[in-house]
Amino acid sequence: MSSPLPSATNKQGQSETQQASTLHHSEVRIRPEEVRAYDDSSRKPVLLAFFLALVWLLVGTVLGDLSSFKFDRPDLLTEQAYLTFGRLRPAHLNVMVYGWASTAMFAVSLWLMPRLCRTTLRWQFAAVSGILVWTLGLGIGLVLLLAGVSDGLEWLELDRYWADPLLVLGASLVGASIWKTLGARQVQHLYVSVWYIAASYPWFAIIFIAGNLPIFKGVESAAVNWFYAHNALGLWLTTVNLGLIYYLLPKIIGRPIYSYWLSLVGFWGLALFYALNGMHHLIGGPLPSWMIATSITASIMMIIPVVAVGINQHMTVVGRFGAMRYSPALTLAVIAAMSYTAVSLQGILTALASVNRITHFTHWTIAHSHLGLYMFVTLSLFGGMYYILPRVLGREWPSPRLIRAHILLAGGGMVLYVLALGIGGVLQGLSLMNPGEAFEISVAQTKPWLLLRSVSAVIISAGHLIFVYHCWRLAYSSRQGHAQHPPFFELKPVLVKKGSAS
Amino acid sequence: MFADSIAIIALSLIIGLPPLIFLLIGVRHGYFDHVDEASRSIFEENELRYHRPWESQSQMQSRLDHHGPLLSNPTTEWERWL
Repeated sequence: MSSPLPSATNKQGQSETQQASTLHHSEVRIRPEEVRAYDDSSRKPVLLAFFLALVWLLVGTVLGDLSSFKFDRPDLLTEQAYLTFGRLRPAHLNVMVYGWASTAMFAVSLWLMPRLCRTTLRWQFAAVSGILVWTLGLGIGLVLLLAGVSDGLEWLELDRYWADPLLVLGASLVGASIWKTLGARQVQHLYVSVWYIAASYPWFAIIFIAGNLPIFKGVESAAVNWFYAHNALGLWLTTVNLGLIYYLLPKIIGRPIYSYWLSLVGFWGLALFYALNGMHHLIGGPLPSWMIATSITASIMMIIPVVAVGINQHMTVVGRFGAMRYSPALTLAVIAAMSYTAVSLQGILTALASVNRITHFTHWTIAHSHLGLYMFVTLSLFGGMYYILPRVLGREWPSPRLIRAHILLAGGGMVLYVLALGIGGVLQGLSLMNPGEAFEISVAQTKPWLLLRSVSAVIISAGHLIFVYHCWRLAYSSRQGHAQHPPFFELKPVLVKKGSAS
Repeated sequence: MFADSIAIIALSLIIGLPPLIFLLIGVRHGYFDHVDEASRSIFEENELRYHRPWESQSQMQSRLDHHGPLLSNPTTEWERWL
């Protein structure tokens, strides 16, 4: 039986394939059986990572809900130290960022790279081991965090001696599999998603190690903290998800990305100018003014790659928004892409000193981070799962009704969340700036908005439960994804006209 | 003041310089020479010929003109959910 892969082990053949693909891309069409072989090679780590991500999604949802309810009922669950806000809130953040989002991103990366590099996944054992080591590290870190052991730095609360080394090792093992696959690619060109995904892994390792080094003191520690936190968003969470969106939109719509050049501008703009953005979180802090000014300038410069990505993704879909009714993956990818543009422009706006003066230290920041981490990152990953899981499992999603319920609850709930906290945050900021008002007034003004946030948190949680149940149904359903009959020519009116003419 | 910020300068360079080097390597090796073809490289054989139920007649005609007679998608992924 011949292998479906094009001369996978033959070096001479590999070189010829690479050369051919360089010269005649359009003639090197990938065959469906090749794609299935690539998907099969990554099946094990992809399914493992998605399963663990869903477990973390549920854990993080419970932690987030409890944190939110404590704003409405401050005496709720205060008997035990591990249930207090100071521990639950960082636990929620770390579980969502490192447990749900990062683990799901491992799956997305490991599924996309073989397809884009047109080769089987290499070092699959390293990928599986990396996912397990990462999960172990996060589990240890979470237990220690709830027990009161924290590094005390935002986004870096997990213990730097017991948890963080395992996270670095886990991500490095997954990254090694990604880069080994990249090195063994059968095509010379690199699709834009490959740039995004491959770059993410070394970037994450560098910023995570730098952020956790116990050598920074005082104001420099704060600067390095925000260097990490902002780059974790921009050079890790953003990059893998933009890579995913750049793959999903053209694949589902059925036409190439509007401008490949713009997609490259977006990637290289991010790669070259993003690193200095973080310090805009420290406006007003005791840092050298040139650092703040440089960060604000870098933040404003981000308008170039952000607008490039926004225009490109919009123009790819424009005229075909009706496709969203047929593909939940496309719906979520489009909303995520729009949210990326929105959160980036909001971030640029917030970096301006005049705006930051009002929004700093308010709930506006929480609304902003959820617009990025949920409306962009999480919805993108949900979209990825709607697209990837049927292909890996060989089955279609069992229930359009459950898809509808999940997307409407999660998306609608988060819109309510962002609006409520955004409005509440601005009112809080204006109140804090008013020297004639006592601090308590600023707190009282946010109470209805915080209650609305808790309501939206319950709505979102219901969406998550439905999604997890639907994934379970998919895994055990017998509905096949491939039609029993071979493809046939569609007899649409447009074809009849054309066919009769020719 | 300046000494307190040297870590950020060093870290920014560590993050920012390698992409610049990779960009130059990419340009030198011709990774950006065939962008139109690269943008089409993600599609499977015949994938662009699949009839898409949401397309207008003119969009279907355009697909037909560019990629040949339309085929039905062998999977059932495009079922209406909304």
